Amino acid sequence: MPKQYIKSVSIEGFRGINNENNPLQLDFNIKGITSIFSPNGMGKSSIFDALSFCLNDELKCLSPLAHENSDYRSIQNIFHNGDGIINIILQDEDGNENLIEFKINDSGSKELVSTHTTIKTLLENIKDIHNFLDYNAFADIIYSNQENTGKIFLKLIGYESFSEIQEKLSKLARTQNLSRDFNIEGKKEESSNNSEKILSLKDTIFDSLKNIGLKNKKYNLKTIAKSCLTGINKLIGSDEVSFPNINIKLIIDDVNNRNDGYNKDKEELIKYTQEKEKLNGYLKKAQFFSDSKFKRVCREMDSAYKKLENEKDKFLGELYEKALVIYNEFEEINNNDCVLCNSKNLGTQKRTFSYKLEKKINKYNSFKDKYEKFKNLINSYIESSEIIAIEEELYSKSVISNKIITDFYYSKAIISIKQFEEYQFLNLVQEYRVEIENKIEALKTKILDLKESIPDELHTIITKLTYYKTIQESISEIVDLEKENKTIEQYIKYAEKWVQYIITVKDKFTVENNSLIKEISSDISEDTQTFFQEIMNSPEIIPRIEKKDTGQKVLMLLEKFYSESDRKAASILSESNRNALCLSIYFACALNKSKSGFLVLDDITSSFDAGHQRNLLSLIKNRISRIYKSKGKQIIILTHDGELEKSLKDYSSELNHKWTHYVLNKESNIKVDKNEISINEIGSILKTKANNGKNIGNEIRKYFERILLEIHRNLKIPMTYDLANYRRKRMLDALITNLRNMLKLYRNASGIQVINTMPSDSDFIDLLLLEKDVANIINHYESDILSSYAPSFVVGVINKIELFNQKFQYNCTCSERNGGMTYYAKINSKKVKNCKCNL
Amino acid sequence: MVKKKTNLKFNKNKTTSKNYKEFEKYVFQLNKDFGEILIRHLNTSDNLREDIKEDVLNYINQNISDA
Repeated sequence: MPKQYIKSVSIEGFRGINNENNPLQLDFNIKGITSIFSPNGMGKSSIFDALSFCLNDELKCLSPLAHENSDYRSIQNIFHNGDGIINIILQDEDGNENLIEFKINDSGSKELVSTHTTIKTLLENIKDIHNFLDYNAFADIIYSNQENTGKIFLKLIGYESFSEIQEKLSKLARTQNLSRDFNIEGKKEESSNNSEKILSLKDTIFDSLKNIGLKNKKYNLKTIAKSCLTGINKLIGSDEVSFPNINIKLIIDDVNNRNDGYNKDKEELIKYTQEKEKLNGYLKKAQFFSDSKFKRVCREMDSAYKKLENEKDKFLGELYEKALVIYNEFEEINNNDCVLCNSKNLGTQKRTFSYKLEKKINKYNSFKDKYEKFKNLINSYIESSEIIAIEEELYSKSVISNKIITDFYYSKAIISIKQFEEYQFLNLVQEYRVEIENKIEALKTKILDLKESIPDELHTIITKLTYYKTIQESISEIVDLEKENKTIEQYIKYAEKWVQYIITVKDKFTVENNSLIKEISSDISEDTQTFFQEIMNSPEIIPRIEKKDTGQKVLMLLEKFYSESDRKAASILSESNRNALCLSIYFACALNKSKSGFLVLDDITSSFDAGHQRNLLSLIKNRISRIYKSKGKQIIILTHDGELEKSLKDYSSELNHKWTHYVLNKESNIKVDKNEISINEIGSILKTKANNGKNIGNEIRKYFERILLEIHRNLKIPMTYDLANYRRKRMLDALITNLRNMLKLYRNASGIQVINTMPSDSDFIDLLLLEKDVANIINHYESDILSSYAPSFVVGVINKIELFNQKFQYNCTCSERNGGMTYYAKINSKKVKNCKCNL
Repeated sequence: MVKKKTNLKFNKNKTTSKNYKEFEKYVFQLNKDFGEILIRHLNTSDNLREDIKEDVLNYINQNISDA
């Protein structure tokens, strides 16, 4: 999209601008700079707000009230009837113009009159953080902590979103988060438990095969199934073709039905045998909770607890975390001082509050990690062993696990291996094993008795069939478990792939982003240094922008501050230096990173004296604006500074078609005059005001000063640099004295003759007394006492000023007229040879 | 054909959006499926971690069932 420039704006009924049916119309110079001078309350900020509201969707006038209920209705001029109207004409670099019309309704809402999509797209594209700069807009860039400074800086260079991405990727790739979200460790544990179960089932199969009398050296499910199928077919003379699908229970029932006489015994035998097998299974499962696993749990728990020195730390952990969040809002001045606890000169040990706090938090986090590991581990062991779930009346596993975890968290009672042993958890398991073994023994006796009562052949068939059934069930379970493990393996494969992926993306992005921002920071830093030097002209101070390696942190440093190096800018620089630095950063970013065509600057010179204001204007003119740089910006400067205005006017006349200057005046109904009111009219305006009892102390001073300056200019009277540039309130006497001394000098100089009408030295003494009167009038009004100066006195002062001025209003008729030369001429000079003036 | 090496390099002279495009290209080159999940949520999701987790788990389950 081509660059856009603001060609003109027309405002009616917005903020301080009423102008009903006669909108305030401003044409901006798109080739360079437009400066607008306006005393306070004349609508300067309203122009800024109108442009900023329409083109950037920002309303800085209301931002300080953002935390309250901002009354947007106030942005419409309350004395204006109907909707406010703001029309802006944009012109692009190819010369195409677009009129954008806005209405501001009663509720303060902005309505785009044109509904054409190109206008909407244009408005979307034109938005840019650099477009509008007011006095305090970016002050935070050096006043804030490193994090905020970083955020503002990244915003200025357009890479805020990259920093957010980096932060998001870091969270996604955090080991703890990945472990919680995808539970790879848990899945591995699950797979390992399944494998152990499979091994146990294989043992059961081998035992059963052995009991049946079949030999199998290698474990191969297919071979085993084939042998079993052959065995069953031989045993009962059937022609079954698939071992897994044989209904062995049905066969056993069938065999039993053919031998009714032993049914009761057989049923009991089957029941006891099944019960015995079941108990054998429980006994094996109980072994899972082995001593080594138990010791591992204890070790985890022990090391977790050792991370904490005393009991209160674990309860305070969360408070520390909150405290750190709050603390991060503060910025330590340096490593030696702590802002929060006011400790000073802490030395090199870094014993600051934040340091201690972070240490404790790290310790707490480490504890939490270990604790979490322990909790998961013990839960998985309890889960896999199933020893407790089987006999719910004895030991509920949830109760046991909760008790262990709760006891661990709130008491030291079970934190060591020894103490954990005292908890007798293993004893419970042992007791349970013994109980099962006793039951198995009892069942064995019963089984033996029953076998004796049943014929051997029948008994053998039923027993073998029962073993075949056990083998069949075990094989089925193994197949299921192997299938489950395959799924788990697949899950782990993909989950690990994702983990690897997100860590790679995060690492790569972090490295590249940091290197990118560092490179940009370095470029911006270079321009910032140049701009700062041009404004402040202090080679002893060299600022530098430094991007930290991680996160959003950016440091505003002083590479050089007299003999010091690498000090924080905010803590050392004076206000004017800080503002110069902010502006330098802003301009460097705008020039390097903004595609916007224009910059609107509101009161950015307030903190500078006249000399530095000139430097700033010169920087804007020469390096930032389009005047001398094809890639420069259209600049709109708004100011209330009367002293600066004189420079603006000078530039405007010097750069004519590339610099337009406006003066806003008239208090209630703002209009714009390109030409200032003539000095001859000011006297009579002031007299009218004085007669109406208006406070015009300052205006008289300015009037007086302007007359004196004009006399200096017309007569080409030299002035010292300080007098010309550092004009302050009390400069009148200096101007008068300068004029008096110079005339005295000319009068006494041998080769120069001064015109007779010029004031005498005693006139100047009167004039100095008159200056005291002006100062008194100002002081009197400022003291806020009811005026004791009658209007006639104030008018008398103005008359005296005018009378003095008249003494210099000689109208020279010489053909060689050359300003000033007619008032004091060099005798024998060729130029005044034919001068008819009455010298 | 030699497979082009996957790499990411930002350029200070390019715009933010062009550099972002480079990043997108990189994450897709690294893994198309994961790249799609990541980019889909990275700039829009309010609950990034949860949304990505859900999509990755769906992706894993889909691949397991296909296998």
